[in-house]
Amino acid sequence: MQPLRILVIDDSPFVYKAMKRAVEPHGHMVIGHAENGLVGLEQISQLNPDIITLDVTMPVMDGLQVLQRLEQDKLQRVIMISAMSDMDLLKQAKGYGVNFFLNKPFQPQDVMYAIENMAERER
Amino acid sequence: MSEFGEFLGIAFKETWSMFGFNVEHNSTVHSEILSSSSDLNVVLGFTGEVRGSIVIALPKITASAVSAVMIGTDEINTMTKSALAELSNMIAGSAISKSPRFMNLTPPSVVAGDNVYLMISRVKSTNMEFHLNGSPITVSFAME
Amino acid sequence: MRDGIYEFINEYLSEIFASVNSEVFNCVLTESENGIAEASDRRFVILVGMVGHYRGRIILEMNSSTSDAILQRMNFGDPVITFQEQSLFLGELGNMVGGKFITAINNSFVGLELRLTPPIVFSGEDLSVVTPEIESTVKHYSADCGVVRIDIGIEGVKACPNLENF
Repeated sequence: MQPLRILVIDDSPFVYKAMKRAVEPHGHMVIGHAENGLVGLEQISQLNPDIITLDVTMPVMDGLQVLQRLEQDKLQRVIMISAMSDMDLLKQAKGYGVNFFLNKPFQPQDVMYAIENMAERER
Repeated sequence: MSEFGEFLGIAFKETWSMFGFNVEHNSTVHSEILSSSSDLNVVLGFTGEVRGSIVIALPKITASAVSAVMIGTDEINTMTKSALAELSNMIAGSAISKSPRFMNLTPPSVVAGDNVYLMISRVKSTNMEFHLNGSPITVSFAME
Repeated sequence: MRDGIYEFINEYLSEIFASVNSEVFNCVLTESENGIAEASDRRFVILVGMVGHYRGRIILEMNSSTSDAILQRMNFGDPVITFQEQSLFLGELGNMVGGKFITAINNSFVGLELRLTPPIVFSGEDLSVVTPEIESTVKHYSADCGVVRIDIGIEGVKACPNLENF
């Protein structure tokens, strides 16, 4: 697989570090960390990441509000991350076009599974 | 100040006045985070259309003054903390009921100790400083 | 519904905490009768509120040396120095334990629909946390890095009389 550029949108420094630890051994790069959805949207526009990991609950602008503002091609690059498995939330995110979800805390192999499946879909 | 801040400030004054306290508003300060270093803090969370936190923070001298009026002793004991919790619940509940946004409030928790540091949020907060019968007390909130 | 909730907490809390432990800070954990020693030590407390059909809160409590050890593990070996950073990491820990708990309990009790409010982290000496009108179910977990106390209280849910009440 080609090295992927990943943007982490999450207010938690722990999740940012955990994501780096999960993907960097496989040759991928975390290219940015946005601590809220508003900064996340700016970084998506500036950095054009291959993959976006997006927390649901964040200050200033939450994950669902980010999804409302993203273009279709970028929605398909999103892995949604949440501490809670909430059916309503999953349905809303799916409605926007998100296909991949992770619960916190996540295992590195769960992250790689999502990334590899996303890359497979793109081909 | 935001609309919710106004509701909270009004609810704060109304509730304490109901129990015979003289309430004076000193200042409103905005900060980048919601935190406290007071001896006693009553904390409540809310979620619904918006998520956030409310803190009512007071030093021991103010808690003693409240206890003297509400309980009849200036010793800060379990009953003092219960009274503070109940009052804070009324204040927060009243502010939320004035707001057009739908929110649910958690039960109040009273955090007390020495050299207390409390951090709730990295979201901009509004901190309203009052005097209660001449003793300082702050009500703060942050909305995510 | 209330009657079943206490049993649920008693049965599943350990499993939920163990799951977060294994994926986040990976200490050797056992349920313990022993509390946290030395009340006057600096303590860290994480409080996460819950609202929905009922209201409540989850409290995680530990002393400063346990907190330092857990934080260092969460930060993949690097110490976490400022209180602000410590609050972010510990707040996230509270979110994860709380999130797993409400996911599990919402799935078991239809209509409960609990949601979490933002986590609050505090530290201090001689620290006490009181949520009036709420009875707690408390469990202690002895880790190789110290003792973690977990206290769950939901309005109207009576704690078992044989377990410690806060």
